[in-house]
Amino acid sequence: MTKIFNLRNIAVAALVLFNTSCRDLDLYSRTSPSTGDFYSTEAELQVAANEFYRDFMFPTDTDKYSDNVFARSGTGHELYKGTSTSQSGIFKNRWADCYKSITRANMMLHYMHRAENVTPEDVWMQYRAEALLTRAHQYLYLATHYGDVPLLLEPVPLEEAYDIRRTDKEVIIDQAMEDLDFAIEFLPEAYGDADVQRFTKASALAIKSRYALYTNRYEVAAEAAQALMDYGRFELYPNYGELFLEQGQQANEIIIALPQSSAYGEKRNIQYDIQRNAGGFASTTPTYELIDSYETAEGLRIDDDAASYSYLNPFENRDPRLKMSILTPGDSLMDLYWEPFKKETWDIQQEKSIKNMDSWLSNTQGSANPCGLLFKKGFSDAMRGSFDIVDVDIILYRFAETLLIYAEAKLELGQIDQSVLDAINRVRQRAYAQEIAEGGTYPEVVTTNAQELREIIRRERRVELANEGLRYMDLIRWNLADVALNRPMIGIKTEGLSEESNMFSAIPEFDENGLPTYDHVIDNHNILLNRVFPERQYIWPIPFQESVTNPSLGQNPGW
Amino acid sequence: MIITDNVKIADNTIFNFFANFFKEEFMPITVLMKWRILLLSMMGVFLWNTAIAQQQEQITISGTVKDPDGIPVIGANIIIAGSTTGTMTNFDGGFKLGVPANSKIIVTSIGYEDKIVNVGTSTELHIVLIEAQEQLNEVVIIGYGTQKKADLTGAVATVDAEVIAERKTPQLSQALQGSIPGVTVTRDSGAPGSTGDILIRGQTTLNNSSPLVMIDGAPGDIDDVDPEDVQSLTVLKDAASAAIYGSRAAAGVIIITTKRAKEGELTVTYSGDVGIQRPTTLPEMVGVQDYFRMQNEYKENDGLAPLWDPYYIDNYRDNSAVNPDLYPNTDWQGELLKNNAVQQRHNFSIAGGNDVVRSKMSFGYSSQEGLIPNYNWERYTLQLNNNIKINNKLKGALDMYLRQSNKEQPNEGHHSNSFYSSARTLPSFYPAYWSDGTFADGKDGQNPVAFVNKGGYKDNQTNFARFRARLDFEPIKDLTVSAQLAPKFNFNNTKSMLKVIDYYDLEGNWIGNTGKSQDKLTDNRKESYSINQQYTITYNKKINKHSFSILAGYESNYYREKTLEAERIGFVLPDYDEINAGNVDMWSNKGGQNENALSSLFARVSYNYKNRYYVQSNIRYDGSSRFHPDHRWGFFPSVSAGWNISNEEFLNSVDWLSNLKVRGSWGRLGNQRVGNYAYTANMSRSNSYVYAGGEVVPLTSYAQQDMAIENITWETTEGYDFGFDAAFLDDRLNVNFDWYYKTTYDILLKLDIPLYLGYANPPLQNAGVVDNQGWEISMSWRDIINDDLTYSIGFNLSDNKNTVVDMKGANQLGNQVTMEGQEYKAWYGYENLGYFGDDHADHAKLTGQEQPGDIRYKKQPGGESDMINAEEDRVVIGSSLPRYTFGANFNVNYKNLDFGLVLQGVGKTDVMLSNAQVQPFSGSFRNYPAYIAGNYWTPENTGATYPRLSDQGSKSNYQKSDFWLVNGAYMRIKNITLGYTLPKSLLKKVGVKKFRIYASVNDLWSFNHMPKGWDPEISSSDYPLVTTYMTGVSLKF
Repeated sequence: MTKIFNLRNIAVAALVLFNTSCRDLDLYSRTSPSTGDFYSTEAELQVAANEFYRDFMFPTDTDKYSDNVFARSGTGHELYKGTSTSQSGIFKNRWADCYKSITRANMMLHYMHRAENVTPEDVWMQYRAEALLTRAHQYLYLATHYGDVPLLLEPVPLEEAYDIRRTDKEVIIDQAMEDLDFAIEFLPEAYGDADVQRFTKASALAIKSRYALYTNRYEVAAEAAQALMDYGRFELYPNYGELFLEQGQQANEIIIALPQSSAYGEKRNIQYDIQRNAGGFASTTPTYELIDSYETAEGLRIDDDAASYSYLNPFENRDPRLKMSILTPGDSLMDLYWEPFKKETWDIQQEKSIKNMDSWLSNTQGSANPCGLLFKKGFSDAMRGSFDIVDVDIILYRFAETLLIYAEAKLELGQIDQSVLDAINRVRQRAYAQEIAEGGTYPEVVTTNAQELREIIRRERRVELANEGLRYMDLIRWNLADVALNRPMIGIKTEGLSEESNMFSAIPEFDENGLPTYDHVIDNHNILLNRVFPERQYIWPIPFQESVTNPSLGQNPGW
Repeated sequence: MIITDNVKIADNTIFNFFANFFKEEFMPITVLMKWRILLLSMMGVFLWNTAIAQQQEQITISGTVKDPDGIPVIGANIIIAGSTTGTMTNFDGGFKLGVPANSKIIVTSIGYEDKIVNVGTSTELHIVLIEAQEQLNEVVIIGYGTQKKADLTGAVATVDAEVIAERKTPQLSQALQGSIPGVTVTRDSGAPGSTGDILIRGQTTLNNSSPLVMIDGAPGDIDDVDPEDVQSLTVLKDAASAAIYGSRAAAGVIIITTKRAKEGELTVTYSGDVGIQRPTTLPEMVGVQDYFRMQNEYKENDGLAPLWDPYYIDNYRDNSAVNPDLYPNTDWQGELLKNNAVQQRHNFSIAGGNDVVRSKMSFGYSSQEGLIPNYNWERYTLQLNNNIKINNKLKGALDMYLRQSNKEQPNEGHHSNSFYSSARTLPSFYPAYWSDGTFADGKDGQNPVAFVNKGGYKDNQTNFARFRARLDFEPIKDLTVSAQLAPKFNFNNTKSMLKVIDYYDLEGNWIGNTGKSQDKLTDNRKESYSINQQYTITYNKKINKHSFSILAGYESNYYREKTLEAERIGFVLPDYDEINAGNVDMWSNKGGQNENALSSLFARVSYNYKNRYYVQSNIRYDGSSRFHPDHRWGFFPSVSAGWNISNEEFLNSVDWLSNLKVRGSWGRLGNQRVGNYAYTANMSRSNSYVYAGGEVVPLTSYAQQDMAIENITWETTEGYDFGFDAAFLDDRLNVNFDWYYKTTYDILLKLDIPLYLGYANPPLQNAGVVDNQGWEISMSWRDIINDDLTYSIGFNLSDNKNTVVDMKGANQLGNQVTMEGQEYKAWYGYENLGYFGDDHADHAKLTGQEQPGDIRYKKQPGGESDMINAEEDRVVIGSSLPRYTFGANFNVNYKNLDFGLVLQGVGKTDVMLSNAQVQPFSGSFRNYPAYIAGNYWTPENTGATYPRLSDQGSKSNYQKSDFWLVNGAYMRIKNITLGYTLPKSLLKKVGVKKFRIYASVNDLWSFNHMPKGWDPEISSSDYPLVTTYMTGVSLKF
């Protein structure tokens, strides 16, 4: 033993150990490339452009911010309880997502020249157009919601970040419209059926037409809408109700949608939207203001003397979209009869009568639906039992909106002509498709009186696009938010609640804007909220984190 | 690569085995198999050694044992080395014993130093035992070596092994709470297997401030030592003592050694205890009728219709007694939590050896049941320490530690709240069970009682192994060359099954589920490997009155972690809970790898003259893979000096002073714990979904999600320390005091950057400067009244004041701020001016909707807005960091009885009450504690503790403000122990050396200012802290 452990051997061993143990300190991530020379091949451009199809890249509002929907869960309440502040999550989250998208677009726009010589020109231009479309989309949302915001067209290094100031809203919109024009020029008209369906000219036109309308650029809006109407690929899907279900996913009406697939984990949970009897929370409810906005089948407002409307039988003889969009008493969804005034209801699937948790009469926990109404649009019988893995696509832009944009833009331009009436009537005609197929007619709009037509178009947008997230901006741009969102919101009629109850005790009164009001029946109903909409909320505040990290951004008035 | 095949180190099979074992191409699976072989071979060595001591020729010896003054030592133990045979001295100090010729005997007695005597052939021995000089000759473990306590020049604290064992906690980290001044241990849960977070001298950096822990000379996790196995625990607090550990030591260093065998003495011990745990305190929730009445008031205050009919409310309790299904009245906390849960700890050890090999093997088992069902934790540990003396010049150590821990708990994935939060937020009119005993659907399927019983599990198993091989070679006297290899292997498996719970009413109708329609199984595997290598040379020399010690060394660390996770959704047969049993149409998987490495050179020089004047200097040069090559290397020097005044001649005659030393130090330390690739900007992969051929297909997409700054480098801490150690009256009174100041600069911070830059997370920048200043004092008194009665009292107190000096102007303004000129994480919010009254229209408001009875906030001067707003009107309102942390202990031994008491607490801190503690109807329905009922603002009760009931007002009322701050000071009775040791005379007959039984309580009671039912140490959503009542025995053979 001692021989082996002599000094020399130990020294040799120690040296060998020391040599082999000097650690290599150059360690790099093995899962992701670093940015150094990215964007320099066609493949790299492609994967970078693929990022523009992620869901947060599509800024949207929800009708929960508006007078169409009440969410008991609290979404949007801040906006009409008057309690929002610059720290509210709504303002921060959308802002952050928009700028995240802008930066990714700017990174690509800035560095993609590296791949210019190794990429076919049309492909390179197409990816550039996709980036510009994405960036424009964000800026249009920001400008319409927050007013003046920082306009960044290049990636900004941290050192320069604090020198940024806000840019005038109009300049931002000009830039976005210019970017969209580039996209319209260089994006393809369509793709082969087997190809990956990326953005097309139509995508850019749809965004352009919506936001041109939002920013009162009626000429641009009408022009873009006209281009889509002349596009030759879009038409209204014949069945309004099915458009929002599995069957309608490939409809020619859809311009931009977010594809969903439960197999890939891209799915939604609709538990808040469906009946308690089906395992839901019945939390998202259409307001009475929304259902009373649906016309009667004669095309008249329900308070019209000529209208065949009875508040005792309020869901008969109405615009067919009412029953296709809203789950009304006596109707069924998910194989369950919806009976907000019955202690028991019938389960079609199990073929038996069950205790009705959706009725105030048998739900002792006070958690039945606040209005006795749910949405039906977008929900089907098949979703029962699998409401957490719903993968019906989310439609963001569709052709019916285009037609209504055209009609409204032309109206506001003072160019009321037959094409305006045709556009509205195309939308209304589809709503009555089944009636027409059975030999009936639909209530055609014939008036050319601007005042009347304006009320009709606004009502048409409200019902055609109900619960699609467009109502909030409509209220803002029509300057109606402080009217519509400044009144008590009523819920179910609580007076003398019984199995024989009706929803209403009188016909609502309509104000000068064509909005239904309920002051005269308020004592008979549960009041859901005393809404308050402060004037300052027309323009959202610069989020707290921004005005703190860069105080020279300033703040919008009133915040 | 550590040892190549062609380098032959030794013929010894163990060394060959190690050489092969650490071959680079080893596979984890073979390692697992080899553990068993290694374990068996080590046990073989151990048994072989204890066996050879037995076969010798017998002679009989007799003699006496006396102290230096010639007074007989009564009851001293005399044992033949390497055996269990022995005897005790009688009243005259005499003994008689049959021993093998040429053997050694070991003489031990409490209060004296152990003595080993070579018997040779003499049959008559006169042995003199020297009284133990416990304090000053004690050897303290320091970085890469040891030092006599008397020679220390830095702020170094030690904790006795007995103090740790006496705390009786399954986890070592929790045993340190209140034991050492300047060391703060916080807990955030009383859950089975939970640990404590350790801070040494405050929040040094704004990142990870947990100290470096060295276990037997290699880095580790403090809770990877069974408290029963701790031999010594040293805390290096000041920069100078810790500087030898350079870049890892900024937050202090804890050095632990585990128990090793002594020569010749075979010791077998068992200690164990069994106890029950109960929550320290639980809040009483509001009664169901009060809830209804208050909710009506809450609605009416906002102009809305009341929800509940008065008749319904008044008769609810009576109705509930008759028909609990229709009128449930659930005590959710009571249904969720068990009254008590069992805990047990066992440790069994064998130690012994001869002058060639000494081995100690210790086996530990701990288990804790949870207060909620299906929540359990258990841990097996095996520590095997071998010392090998190959020849006079070469010594080695070969250690192994194996651990398996298993934790099973109910799956929390059904709801975003923890079970405890759920149980406290669900109003009692939701049912947990139907009257037939089946689970009811609670609130919309949220039923925490059903979740913990039927909602699936999350099981975690960790297999961990740590090895250490060390060689010390002393080619010439005083020069030692050492090499040490310490690899660690960790295999972790977390398997989570989320099971759908379907609820049925009493008629058997399906009434809902938990919001998930499909079972989900996730199986996560993580394995990590790390290796630490150290090579040192030490040289100690004493020339006349000059003592030198020189150390130089190299150390490297490498860490690699790999993860793999698979998930499937949909299990047709949920009892078959492996990945392959799941549906194939909804699955996902992920995996990755991380590495980091550190290379270091270091040196130390110490010198003292006549044991009076001391100087020491450490330097370290560290390189880290976490920084760009241009900013990778850091240099960390330190220097310290001490003057032992009591060794000066002019104090020789002062007999009341037994020790007095003053010392001072300066040093610089680093911190690099900032993620593995923080300086590189990476493109991250995601999926987006589009149509192709009529089907949804995923597209791979890449984007830079985070910004990175390339030139980030070390955080640096620089600190001074001045202190003294004094002992009086023959060491009965000990006093230690330290004052320190340290500043940390180049702190790596994720400063908020504008969101418009478009990155999800802010990048790391070397931005911050933080100062800490504080002092520590500890005092102890121990005395022996007579043979029957001894006692000791100890007390420690420390303070740390933290100031954020520089944040590059980018203050972090949350509810807790990191703001220049303020304490780290100071509470930030509005200043309240009481409630709004009838003149509410005249005052500035936050939302504009405030009414009388809502909290009014102060409009700070200089603001531009007419409203109260977050930008202008929030100020620092309190401190979240603990100050004046203290601990105290009292021990008394009377005859065979012993009693111990430990107290611990915090003298000053502010606690922000959470919404769960103060807000009724949060989210318009949540439950709340009973103390709010009758204690909120109404026009008749304007002096109430809580604001008016209102949803509209809640947005401003429950903002963070000083209205909701309470004094967080507390004092806790950490432990009370009463023990009884059986008389030795009784035990001798059965061959037992020591037998003690005890009863003990941990976390019995705390004095605090919290609202009734809440513990000051944890937040409202955490697993409650527990009081543990234990009884146990310790046995020594």
